[in-house]
Amino acid sequence: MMRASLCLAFALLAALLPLHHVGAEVGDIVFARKTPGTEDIPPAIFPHSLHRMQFKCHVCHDAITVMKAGANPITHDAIQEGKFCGVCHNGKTAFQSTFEACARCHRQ
Amino acid sequence: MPPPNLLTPAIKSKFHLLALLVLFAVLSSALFLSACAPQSRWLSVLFEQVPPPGQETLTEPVVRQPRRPPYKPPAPPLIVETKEEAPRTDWAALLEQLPKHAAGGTDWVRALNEKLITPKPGLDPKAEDEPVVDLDVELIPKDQPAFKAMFPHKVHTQILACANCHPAIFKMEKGANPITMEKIFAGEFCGPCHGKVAFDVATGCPRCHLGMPR
Repeated sequence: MMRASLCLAFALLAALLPLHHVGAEVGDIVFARKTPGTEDIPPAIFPHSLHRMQFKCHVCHDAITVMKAGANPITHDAIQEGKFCGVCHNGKTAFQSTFEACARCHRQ
Repeated sequence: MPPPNLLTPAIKSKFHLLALLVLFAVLSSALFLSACAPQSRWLSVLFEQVPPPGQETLTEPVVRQPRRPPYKPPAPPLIVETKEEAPRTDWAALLEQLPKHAAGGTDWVRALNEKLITPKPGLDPKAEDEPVVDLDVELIPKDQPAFKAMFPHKVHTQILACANCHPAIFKMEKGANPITMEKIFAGEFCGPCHGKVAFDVATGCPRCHLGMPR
């Protein structure tokens, strides 16, 4: 009985842990996947709060990203070309979009 | 009776001397003859640089490779340098430490005023910030003056540029913006930020309606 309850507690803890970072703060944007056949890839999450800590609003708005849901056609090609996230996420200002860094945006 | 040994040591030494003399005479005459000959195949090996008679001596010096290659210091041992990654800042953990407002969200105004965060004004390190405008605008509903709201330009201009709101969201004219709570909840006026990135309108009443109990 004791063992079972301990296991349950650990399972609950493990299930709740990922929630700690995802969508915990107001303003985190989850980009729902639109491309058919890519449902296996977790959606990209833009943590607004973490960016607010480092840059003022007007650094991105509206020169880089428009303050309207769906108004920014963000693709990986655009990021590689240095648009949207790619303005900073190029390996100089911030981490680059590489195969090692997928999970930093595409989080479960 | 054995035959008498004619080759006595004295005669033997004389024979040797004679043989050496004959050999010397043959060699020297051969040298003389070949030296006088117009061209000798055998002696040209000894006098390689000497031109045939009648030709001038070579003026160009003969450049020869050094007998052994010049000394080269050994190559330094190959050391593969691994670039150490800068320690990653755990922004999520830093965010947890920021002060919270009554509803539980991050109190960004306090965090900024207490200098817990220092957001940069631009990507360029030399980027200059827009000036902070210290102007409080009172918004008094005509029929419900008790629900007076106050808009502080100061905390907004600390992080926003004028062009973020004016004139697309708010016209810069008194009375030109018919702000209502319904419109804010629908995402107009204060709505684009409040409830999405900035504090929620539903839980932050006294932050605008200063007369309401905190």
